[in-house]
Amino acid sequence: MIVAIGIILGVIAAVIIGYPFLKGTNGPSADAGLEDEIERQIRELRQDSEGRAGSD
Amino acid sequence: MADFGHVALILAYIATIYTVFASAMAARSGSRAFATSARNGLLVIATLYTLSLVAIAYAFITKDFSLKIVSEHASKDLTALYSFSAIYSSKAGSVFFWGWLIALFAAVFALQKHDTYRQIMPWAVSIMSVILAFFLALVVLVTNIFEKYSGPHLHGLGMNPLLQNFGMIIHPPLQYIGFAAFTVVFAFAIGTLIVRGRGTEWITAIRRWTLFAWCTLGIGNLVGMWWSYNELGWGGYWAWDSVENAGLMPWLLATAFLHSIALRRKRNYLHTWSFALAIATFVFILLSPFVTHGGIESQLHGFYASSYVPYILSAILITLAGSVGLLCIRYGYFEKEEKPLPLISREGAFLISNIVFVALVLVIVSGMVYPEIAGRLGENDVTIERSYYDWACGPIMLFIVFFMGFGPLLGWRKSSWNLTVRNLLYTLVPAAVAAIAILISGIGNWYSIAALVCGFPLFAMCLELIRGTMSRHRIRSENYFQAFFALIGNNRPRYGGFVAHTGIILITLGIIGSSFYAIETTAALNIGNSISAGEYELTYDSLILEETDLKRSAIGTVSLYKGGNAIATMHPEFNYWFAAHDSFAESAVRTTPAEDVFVSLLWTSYDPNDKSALFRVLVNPLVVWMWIGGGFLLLGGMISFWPDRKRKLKTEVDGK
Repeated sequence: MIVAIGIILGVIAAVIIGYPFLKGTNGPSADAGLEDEIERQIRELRQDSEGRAGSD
Repeated sequence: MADFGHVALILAYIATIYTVFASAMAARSGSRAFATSARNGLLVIATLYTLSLVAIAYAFITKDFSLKIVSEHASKDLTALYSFSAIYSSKAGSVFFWGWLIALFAAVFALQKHDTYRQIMPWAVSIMSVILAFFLALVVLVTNIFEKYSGPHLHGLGMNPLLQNFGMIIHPPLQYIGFAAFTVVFAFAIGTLIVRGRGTEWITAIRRWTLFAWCTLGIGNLVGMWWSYNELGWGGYWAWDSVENAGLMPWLLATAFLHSIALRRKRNYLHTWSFALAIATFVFILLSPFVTHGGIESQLHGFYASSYVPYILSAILITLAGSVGLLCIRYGYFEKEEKPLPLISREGAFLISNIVFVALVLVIVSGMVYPEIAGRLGENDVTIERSYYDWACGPIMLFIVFFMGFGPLLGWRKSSWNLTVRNLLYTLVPAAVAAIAILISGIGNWYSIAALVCGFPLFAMCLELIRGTMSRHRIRSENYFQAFFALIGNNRPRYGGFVAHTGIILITLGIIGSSFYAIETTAALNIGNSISAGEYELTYDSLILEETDLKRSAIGTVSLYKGGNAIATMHPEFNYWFAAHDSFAESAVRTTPAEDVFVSLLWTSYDPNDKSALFRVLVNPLVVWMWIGGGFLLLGGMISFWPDRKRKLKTEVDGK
């Protein structure tokens, strides 16, 4: 009984963990890296401007 | 159910090993699939771990004595609430519970930040997974929390009676919540270091988590003090014991870190220093279980001779070597970003307070470690007395409280001398006048010092609040009430900090009053005898003897008089717990804003024909203000934590 529950739990866990590979979002893309960098820079600029605008 | 929990825990461990691998792959290759898989791994670990916790909690609550841990730490008569708290009253259970919180917070953090911080998160997830793997290894491989037991304790050995107190239900979870929340902060900081993260982005990501950790650690320490005061029967709340110090030091370092990231966020200073503090705080968090599991000798409480000690020590050394090594490698890179900091400014005040916090931790840890090192070098019986901590740490703590007054008065960048002197006139001078008045009136030298040390920051904060409110009233034509709350609402981190500082001031008042002006009397009394303590007189009226399955109780009745008038009846107890084969005093405390009257029944023979009893009576001034200060600490943390309305709206608009 407990072995069966263990197997079921293990399979569910494996499906959840493996789902991103099944979905086909595999592999890095150069665009994604660029996108990250742009996002990061925008956030930094926004925060810096907020910091300067802050009263404290 | 227990077998189910065991299986879930083993699967959680396997999932953790996979998540370490997947997140490392994501970090190295930039693969989104691996990153998402690692995030899902954390969700799976948290779910499986929770199932395992439910199983162990069920075993404790239903008193499943076939499990060794339940048999050794619970008993048939234990209530459901104490049965649950019995989980973390055991060695393995405490590590198990702490690990579960890390799993939970890691999963929440991964869900929050997975899409936002694509570069840092794989590294952060990797580090969180490694930490989780360590905790799970302790409860799966080093010991087995689901180990079966078939010995003779059919009704269980029971829980230590001293732990059967409301304070001990919430004190350990609060500490573990703080530790686990800071684990997330540490992981993200190391992730940022690895990817050479500049700017303030990483601080925005972890500010709330830091606040949460800091707040729960602070409240956790205070609840521990409250428990010690009410339950241990000695009338004190802090003994500078290693276990207490191990809980205090991470909080002190987290306080320094919180101030450091506040400065970094506002003014772009202390980049490397902030990383160093994040590392130091986490290392001291790991030191805490090392102490409680017997790595450093403790007089009060802890899990002695735990098999975890060498593993925890290894974890501390590896974390220290790895993190400091990484910081050194990155130092050259971040050095370009560091700029000289003007000392006579608010930035300077932040830096000085940071240095003092670190100095305080070094003083405490020196006192803890010195006897251990001396012992290893062959010097026997080296102990550090309480007076070392009182005299070395007391002045530093007073300086920190006093120094809180300078921050609000100094301007950013460079403060003009004229303005600074004028601000000091409004704040330091009234505090000094109050101190001198108290000194002359003979109320007490230490109260005079308290007036100066606590009065100055209090006046400084009041001045800032009055100025801000007046300025809003003048410029925006808001009434004073509206202006005051709008002022706070528009800069919650700052004014939340003010409220938390007020809490620290109240706690300081409580410590000064109870440390220097407590009156203690101990006497053996027969029925009808009286004892004096300060302005109070106590008469021993009667003693009732009772017996249940759990304990034999002697319940005293003591009348309390002040100026000849009866003002209260108190009932201290002396209980012999059968399972523990030991007696413990249950104190009675009468609390007023001015002072506590603390009565402890230290001994009686349980003989119906001889009701003589030994009493300890303490009059502890201002103690209640420490607990009220804790409330302010919590409130301040909540105000700072609360999302800013403007920012929330902005996010919503941006989201559209």
